[in-house]
Amino acid sequence: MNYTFTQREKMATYVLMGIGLVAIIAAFVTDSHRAWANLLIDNYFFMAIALFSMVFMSMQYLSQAGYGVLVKRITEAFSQYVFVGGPIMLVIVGLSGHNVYHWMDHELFDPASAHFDEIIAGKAVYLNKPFFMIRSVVYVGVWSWCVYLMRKYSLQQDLNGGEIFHKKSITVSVGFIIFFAVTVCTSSWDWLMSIDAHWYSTIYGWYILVGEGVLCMAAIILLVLYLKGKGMMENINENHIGDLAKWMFAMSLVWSYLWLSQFLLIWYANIPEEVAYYQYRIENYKYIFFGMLAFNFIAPFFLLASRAQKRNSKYALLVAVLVIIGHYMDLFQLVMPGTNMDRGHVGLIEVGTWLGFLGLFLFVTKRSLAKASLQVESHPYLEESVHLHH
Amino acid sequence: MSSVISHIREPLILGDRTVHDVTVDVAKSVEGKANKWWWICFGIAVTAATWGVLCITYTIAVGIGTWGVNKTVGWAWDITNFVWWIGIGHAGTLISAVLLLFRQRWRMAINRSAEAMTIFAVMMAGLFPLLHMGRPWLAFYSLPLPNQFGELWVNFNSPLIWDVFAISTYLTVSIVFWYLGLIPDFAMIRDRARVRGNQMYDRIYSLLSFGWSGKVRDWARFEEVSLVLAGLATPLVFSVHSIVSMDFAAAIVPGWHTTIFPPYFVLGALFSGFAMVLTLTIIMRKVMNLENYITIRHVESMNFIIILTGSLVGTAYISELFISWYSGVEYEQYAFINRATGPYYWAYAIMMTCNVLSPQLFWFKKIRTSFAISFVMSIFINIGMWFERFVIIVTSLHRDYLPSSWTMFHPTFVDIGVFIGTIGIFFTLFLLFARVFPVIAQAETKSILKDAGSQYYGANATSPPAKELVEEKEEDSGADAVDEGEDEEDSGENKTEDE
Repeated sequence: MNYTFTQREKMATYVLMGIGLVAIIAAFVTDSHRAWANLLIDNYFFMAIALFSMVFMSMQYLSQAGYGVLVKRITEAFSQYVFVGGPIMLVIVGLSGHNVYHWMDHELFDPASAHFDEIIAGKAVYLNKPFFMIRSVVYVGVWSWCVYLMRKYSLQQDLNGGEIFHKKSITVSVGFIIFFAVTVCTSSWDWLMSIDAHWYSTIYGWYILVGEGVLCMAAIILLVLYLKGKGMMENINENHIGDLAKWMFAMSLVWSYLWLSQFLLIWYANIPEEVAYYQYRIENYKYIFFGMLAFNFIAPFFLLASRAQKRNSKYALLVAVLVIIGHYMDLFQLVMPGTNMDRGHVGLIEVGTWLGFLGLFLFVTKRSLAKASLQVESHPYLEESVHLHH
Repeated sequence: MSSVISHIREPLILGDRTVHDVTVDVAKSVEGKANKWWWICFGIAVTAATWGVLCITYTIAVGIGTWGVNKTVGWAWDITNFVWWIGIGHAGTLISAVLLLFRQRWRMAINRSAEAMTIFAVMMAGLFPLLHMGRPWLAFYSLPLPNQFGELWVNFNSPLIWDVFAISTYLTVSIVFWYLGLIPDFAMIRDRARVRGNQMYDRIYSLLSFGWSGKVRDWARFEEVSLVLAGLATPLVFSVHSIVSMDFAAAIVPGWHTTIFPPYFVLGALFSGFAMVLTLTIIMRKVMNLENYITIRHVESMNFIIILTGSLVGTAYISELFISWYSGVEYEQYAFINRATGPYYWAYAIMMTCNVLSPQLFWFKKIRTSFAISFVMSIFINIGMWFERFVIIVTSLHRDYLPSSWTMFHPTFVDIGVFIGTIGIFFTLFLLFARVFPVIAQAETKSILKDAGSQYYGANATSPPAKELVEEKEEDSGADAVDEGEDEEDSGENKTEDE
C-alpha cells in the first residue's frame, strides 16, 4: 500500500506555510523578540516530534519490540524533519542573539560595564557564542546522520530483505541512543534553559525529553488515524491504537511526575535563585502555567486510564489534540517569559507561525511517506506487529 | 503480544519441558530435601544474622552512641543502608507490575523470587530508621495517632513522614501482590500432597491456597485482580523512592537539594534492584536446579535494564556535576569538588566505576550473555550503589557550612555488624522462602510454554508449533489448569479448567 502526496494536499501545505511567512514578517515588523521566540518555540515543537520518533524507533530495536513495526514508516517520515528543522534551529540560535538569549549581550561579561552580571560572567566558559554554535552544529549534524542511516537501512531492507539491515539498524540505534541521552540534556540546557541564564535545574533535560515523547506519540496517533480514515494502513487496528495510546498515557504521567518533582522541590526549598523562575511565571503567565496541567496531566489521566478508552480511537484522537495544545503551552511558558518578559501572549502571530511550521512539517512528512511503502515490506518482527492482539 | 512469534526470537524455557515437567521441577524444591549447597548458604546466612541480631540488641540496649555518627555527620551508615535496601526492593514491583502491564514474558521465571526479595529488602530497610530513633519502642510516634499530649502531631510537611506512608503502603501492596500470585501454586502443591497422601502438607497448603479450585471463574478473577494491583503498584514504584529522595532534596544541603533527585533515585533503585535479582537468580538456578527456567535470555534481558538504568543514572551524575558548576553557587560547586577530590574521593571513584563505567560492558553481547561475568557485575553494582548513597549522605554532611564542624565519619563495629546482619537476615529469609514456597510462578510459566518452550519454537524446535498441538493430556490436578488452554489466546487468558 502506497501513499500519494496529491497536488491538493501539497497546495494545503503551501497555504499553511504562506500563513506562517506572513505571520513571521508581521512579527518582525512589530516586535523582533516575539518573532524569534515564536520561531524557536515552533521549530522546537516539531523538532521534538522528529527527534523522539528516532528515539522511539531506536528503543524498539534495542528492546526487541515487535508491536510497533507497522508504524515504523510514520516515525521515519517524522524523523526526516530533522533535515529541515535542524538547519532552521541553527539559524535561530545563530542569528536571534540577545533577542532570545540574554547572555549573548557582551556587556554582561565586562566588569567595567554597568550591565556586568557576575553570575552570568561566571558561566562564560560554557555560555559563549562560538562554543554554543559548535555544540549546536554537532547536535544537529550527528542527529541528522543517524536519521539518514536509519532511513537508508530501512529502505534497503525493503528491497533486499534478510537480517543484515536489521542488525545495522540496531547498531545505529545504539549509537543514537547513547549520543541522544547526553545531547538531549545539553541541547535543552543550551537552547531553552539558557534563556533564563541565571536559573538552573538538573531535571530539565529529562523533562524536555519526556515532553518530546508525549508530542511524538500524539503526532503518531493523529497521522495513523488520518491515514486509516483514508482507507490506508488496514493492518492497524484497536490493538495498535491501544499500544500507542498507552505510550501517550505513560509519557504524560511521567511528564507530570517530572513537572511535580521540579516544582515541588523548588517550591519547598524556596531558595531565591531557583524560586524566582516559578514566581515570575505564576505572576505573569498564571493561566498558561497552571492551565497546561489540565491538558497534559488531567486530560490523559482521566480520558485514557481504562483499557477500553485506550483502544477507542475517538478517545485517542481527543487526547492527542489536547496534549498537543498542552505541550505547546509548556514550550510557550518555557520560552516566552525569558524573551518577552510579561508581554508574551497567544495572538494571531503565534497561531500563524505555528500553522506555518505545521505546513512545513506536513510537507516534509508526507513527501517522505509517499516515497516508500506505508508498511515496511521486510522486518523480522513484521508479522508480530500484524498479528498483534491483547 | 502476538499470535505469531518472530523466528529470530529465542526460547525462554529450555530442555523441552512439558507442562507436567514444570510442575515436578517447581515442586521439587518444596517437597524434596535441601541439598548441600542450600545448607552451606543457610549456615553462612544464619551466622551473619545472629551477629546482626546481637549488634541490634546492643544498639537498642546502649543507644545509637554505639554507632559512628556524630554531631556533623548525623546520618551515615544507617541511612545509607536504609536507602540501599529500599532501592533493592524496587525491582520486584517493577518486574511484577510494570513488566506485567508491558506483557514481557521473560518476567515469569523471575517474578516470584524478585517479589520475595522486594518484601525482605523493604523489611531490612525499615529496620534502620527504626533503630536510628534510639528508642524504637516509641516508633508509633511516627503515626498520626490521636494522643493525650495536647497538639502533638507528626509533621505532615516533612518528607520523613511521607516516607512512613509511602513505604508501608508499598510493603502492603507488594505482599498482597506476591501472595496473590502464590495462590495457584500453593494449590498445585496441595493437590500433589493429596495424591501422595502427605497429610501435613495437604493441610498447610490447603490453608495457604484459600480453596483455589482452578476453575475458569477463579482464573478470571485472578487475572482481573492482578491487573488492578499492577495498576496500583506502578505509581508506587515511582513514589517510594521519589519520597526517599525528598528526604534529601527537600533539605537545603549542598549536594542534596537538586531537582533531578526523584527520577534519578527511582532509576538508581531499579538499577540496584535488578543487580540484586541477578545475584539471587544466578545463585538460585544452580542451587535449586532451575537452569531450564532461568536462562541466559532472562539474564540478558535483565542486563538490558541494567544498561538502561545504569546509563541514565550516569547522565544524572553528569547533569548534577555540570549544573553544580553552572549554577554559580559556590556551596554547590564546593560540594561536588569535594566529592570528587576531597577525603572521600575513593568512595566517589568506586561509585563512578561500578555504576557508570562497568555497566557499559554490557553493550557487548559476549559479556551480557555470560552467567559468570553477569554475576560478578551484579556484585559490583550492588557495591557501587551502596557507595552512591554513602557519597550522597556522608560527603554532603561532613563539610558543614561552619568549617569548625568539619569532620570525618568512622563506622564502629556495631555499624558494620548491623549492616552485615541485615544481609544475613535477608538471605536467611530468602533461603527459607525457597524451601517452602514455589520459587517459580509455575502457573504463569506454563501459560507461555507453548509460545516459548524450546521444543515448540526456536532454532532447535523438535515439535510442531503450538497451534497444532491442541491435544495433550496431563495427569496433574486442578492447579495444572493451564495445560489445556492452547487456544492461542493472550497469555493472560489461556487458562481453562481441566475437568
